[in-house]
Amino acid sequence: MGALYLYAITDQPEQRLAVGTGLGDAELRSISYGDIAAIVSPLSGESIPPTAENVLLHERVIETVMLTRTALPARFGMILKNQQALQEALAKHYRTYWANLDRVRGRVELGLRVLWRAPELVAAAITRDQYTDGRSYMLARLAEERLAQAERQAAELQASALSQHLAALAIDHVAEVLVTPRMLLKAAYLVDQTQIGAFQQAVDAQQALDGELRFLCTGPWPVYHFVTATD
Amino acid sequence: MPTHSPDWESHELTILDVLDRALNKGIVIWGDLTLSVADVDLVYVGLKALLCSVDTAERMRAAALDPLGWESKIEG
Repeated sequence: MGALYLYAITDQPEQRLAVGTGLGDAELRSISYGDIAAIVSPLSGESIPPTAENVLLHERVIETVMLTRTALPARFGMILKNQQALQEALAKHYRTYWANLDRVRGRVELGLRVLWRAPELVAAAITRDQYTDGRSYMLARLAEERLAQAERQAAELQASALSQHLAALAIDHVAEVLVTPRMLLKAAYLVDQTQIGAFQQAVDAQQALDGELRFLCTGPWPVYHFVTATD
Repeated sequence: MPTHSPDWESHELTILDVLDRALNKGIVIWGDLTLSVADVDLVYVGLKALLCSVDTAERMRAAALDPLGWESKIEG
């Protein structure tokens, strides 16, 4: 067997896969190492083009594998040169993979984006022409900068409070504030499968409390944000 | 495919969320990659084009959905 494309690391190698083919319509295989396994398919070419279709297929395979096994999703584009290299990687990282599998078993990832109406910078239109001298211009710019900093701090506090409120329903979470000016919060939560409904209700409740914010909740996803990347 | 908040149930956002995860997160086994440097560069070029198109799609989608008009300025 030649190069192998990796989709996921799973437990329960004995469980039958619920999906048959992967990228390039190649047959999926479960290659065991003790009580874990790698879900792979043979690679016919030398690489996988990063097209939307291929990325979606990568994701679809993982989601289907999740139906019967606990799965650690692989990043798109992971290729091993042969089965021996795969076995060596599984052996090298076995303890990490097993610890990860233990941690995410029965859990899923939920995504959240919170959009807000970012305050307009009141002094955004400041130009040199409005001021008679450089000093008054620089003072105006300084005031503008202080205002922007204050707004950002207020946004960070608001985002932190929102994220912490939802984190109470999660095992773990990662959050980024103001990734873009309009995106107040971008977060991922590791949630027990039994808590998915409660989490969605909590998001809906937050939305009802603040009509100025827009909450976008997605999932359940493979636990991309909660695996140890390794290497 | 994962479910989404009803008013954001769009193909474009699904792709954006998939990309965020599948291309930036997950198990990595760099040591055994057989992609050449040129191939890796190609992946990033392709990724950039893909993200640009998704970004554009998201803006268009947001503009179409937003009754207040303010989300048409979404950057993400």
